[in-house]
Amino acid sequence: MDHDENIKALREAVACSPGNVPLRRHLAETLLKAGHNEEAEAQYREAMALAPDDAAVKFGLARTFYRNGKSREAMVLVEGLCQKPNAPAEALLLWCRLLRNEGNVTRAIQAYRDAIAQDRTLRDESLEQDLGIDGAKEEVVDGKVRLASGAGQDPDPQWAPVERPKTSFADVGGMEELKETIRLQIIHPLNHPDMYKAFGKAIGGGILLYGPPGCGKTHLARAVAGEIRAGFISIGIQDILEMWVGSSERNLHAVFESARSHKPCVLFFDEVDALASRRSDMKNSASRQTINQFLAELDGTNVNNDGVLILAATNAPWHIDTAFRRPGRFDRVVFVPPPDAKARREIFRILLKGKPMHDIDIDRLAQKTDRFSGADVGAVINLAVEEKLQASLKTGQLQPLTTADLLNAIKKHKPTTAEWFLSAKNHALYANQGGLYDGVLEYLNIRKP
Amino acid sequence: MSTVWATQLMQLDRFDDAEKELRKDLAEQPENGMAHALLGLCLSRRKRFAEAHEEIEKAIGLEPENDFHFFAKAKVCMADQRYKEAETWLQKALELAPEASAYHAQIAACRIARDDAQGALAFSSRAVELDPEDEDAADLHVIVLNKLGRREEAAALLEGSLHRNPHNAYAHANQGWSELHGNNPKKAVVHFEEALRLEPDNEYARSGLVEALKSGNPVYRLALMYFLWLGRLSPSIRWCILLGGYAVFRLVDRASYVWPETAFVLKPFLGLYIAFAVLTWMADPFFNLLLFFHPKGRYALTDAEWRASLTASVLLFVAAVGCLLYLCGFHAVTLLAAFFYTMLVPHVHTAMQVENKRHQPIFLLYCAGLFIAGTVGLVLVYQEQVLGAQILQYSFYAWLAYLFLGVFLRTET
Repeated sequence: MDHDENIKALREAVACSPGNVPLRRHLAETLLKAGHNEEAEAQYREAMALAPDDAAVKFGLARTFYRNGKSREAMVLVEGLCQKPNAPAEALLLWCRLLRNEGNVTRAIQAYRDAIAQDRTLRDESLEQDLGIDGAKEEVVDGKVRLASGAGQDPDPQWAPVERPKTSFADVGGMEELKETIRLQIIHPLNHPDMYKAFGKAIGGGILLYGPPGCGKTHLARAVAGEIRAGFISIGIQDILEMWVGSSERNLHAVFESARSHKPCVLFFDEVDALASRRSDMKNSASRQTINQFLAELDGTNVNNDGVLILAATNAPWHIDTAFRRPGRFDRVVFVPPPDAKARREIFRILLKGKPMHDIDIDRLAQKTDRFSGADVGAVINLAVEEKLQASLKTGQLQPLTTADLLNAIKKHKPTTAEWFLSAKNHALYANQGGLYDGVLEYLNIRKP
Repeated sequence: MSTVWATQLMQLDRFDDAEKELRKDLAEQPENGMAHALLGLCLSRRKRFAEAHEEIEKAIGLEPENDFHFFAKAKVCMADQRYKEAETWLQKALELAPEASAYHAQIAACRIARDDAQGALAFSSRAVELDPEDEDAADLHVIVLNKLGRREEAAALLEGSLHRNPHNAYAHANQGWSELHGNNPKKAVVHFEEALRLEPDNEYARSGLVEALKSGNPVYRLALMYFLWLGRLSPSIRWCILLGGYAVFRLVDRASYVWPETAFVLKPFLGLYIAFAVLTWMADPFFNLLLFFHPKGRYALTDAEWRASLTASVLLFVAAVGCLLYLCGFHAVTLLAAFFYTMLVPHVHTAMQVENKRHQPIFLLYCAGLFIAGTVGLVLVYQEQVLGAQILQYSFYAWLAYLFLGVFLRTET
């Protein structure tokens, strides 16, 4: 009987007896062998829900996660298994591989030794070589993962999907001053490099956008890429978190390499404070290594970063290590304030489109929403819509939104930027070395003390 | 494993991201006590205290032998300004880990919050003894020593702290407060500014800067020296001095009536006493208002402090109008009104700045009650009804009782 028939029979059996854990485990195992990794994962998950303490199910699921590239999830399960006495040799071996990928060689070697001590048939020469263990003598020769040899998993190409944004500056409402700054600092140097060279003005280096959350930093970065018709690679907080856990240096290198091979390209790091935070804030040595790697990639020591524009955005510029602001790195820092009245008008217009409304005074709404972020304007409209909907349901007649409804909602909604400005004001007043926060002071109308 | 990353996210103040990570982790490992405890701490930073307590109680239920969970519970209580309860949880953590300097230090912090520096001393000194490298413990011990007037010991400890870590914002702020205790406001400003440069959100340094800037004025410096001196005394002695001072005032006042020939000596003494008392009530609201004209001070006050100052100035304005009307020959009740609204100023000013959000409504309602009762009393006095005088008399007792209410709520939290 081939795999497919076997699987079919097992599926039917599981359908008849859905609570039978060993049967479901068997199905999952068979699916995994046949290469149906996703489905195997689903079956193991079901089995796990039925028997959360079953070690065999846990190990099976961990192995499936590992195959599916979900190292973190695999690590959580395997670690639980291996920290108990009499951990199975196979689980220890998987743990070893995961630890190796994380760069934790010392613990990986220990796990490998424990696994082999239980079952010598599990020996894996390539893994030994990778970990610097001389299998014959069982001694550590060179306790480090040999990156150059390309050991372990290859950098995952899905880290750096390149998109071609169609949005341009024309799609960004308001923010004229900011757009002009970006034109001067980014777009003109790229379009007229000779002119800049003639005046001895440096080209290159990254730009750090900072400001309260929900004010369009990401949108702006994408528009920059659209404006210069470049590729766009966006690395978000989730990718960064996975970098902390996985083989971060290689993943980061892969991201930069991908950008370099798609020139011209805008490489955008969102929430960059998580990746470039002050090393004193990062107690974990793995993340400190990531920071060093990031700096090395920005400097482009052995490679050429020409044609790669590096943009980064953060809500917490105060968490960023000052090393990142040195020349050639993020040496230009731009404050992205909450949308101005013109931009807010645009946002209201776009978000209200298609909703039942009557005689809306958008100018007045824009005027009354000072310091509201785009997200706040959305929340205000939602609030008004909910109330109107309730009223409509009560009367049974569709009641259109009015200016008064929206003004009422504005009164109820506190702008989420308020908390940010509270902190930013303190940083701008007391820790404004090199005029880093001048944009905030100007926005808040505070004269430099 | 993800608890490690969650901790790291928390170190970066990314509490929402940390919460997501922890919830993901808990979906797979619902019995992970550490994840529950960390989630509780994240929620408490978002001021979602009920959920935070629930998570940490789960952690304690799952791992009752883990002292960290009791510590986490105490931290949530402290964030929720329940210091007495926090202390009981810290004591439980100490039963499991008697040598943990952080737990001793946090008990000291609770005692300081409850205005009991004497009680904090044993804990802060034990914390420093257990781990002389623990920065938080050393910072708290310096606060306690300063509050108890032991400036030399505080200075020695501070020097060590700053030598080990010159970037310790708390140590710089402590140095600022030490200078304030030593009546050197100019030096204090330098230290507070350095603390704020290192940690712009440091509230301890900001409040110190406000005091130091106000102390540029010799009149305020006099008041501040008195407040700091009073703060260094134990609460019971503090009350003896305040009530004793009032009793002596009444006796001297009586004496000046019984023996009119001594009045020329006693009256100026009484005048000085009243002037000093008024200064201590009015110094804070009045000098906060003056900070508006100071280039640094203007931005150093919090919104709550501004609101309090503005309300106080409205009351003072009403009182000034009352005085003016009396001087222009209006009914004597206008002078009484001026006196009453001036008396309200210190109470309203403190009520508007009460840190404990659960207690603040009590103080604000109390002040509103006093305001209404007093105003009604004044109107009735103007209409020559006896009830008016009675209401004013009881309002005065209520005014005195307010002082005790403040101390009671602060120490019983």
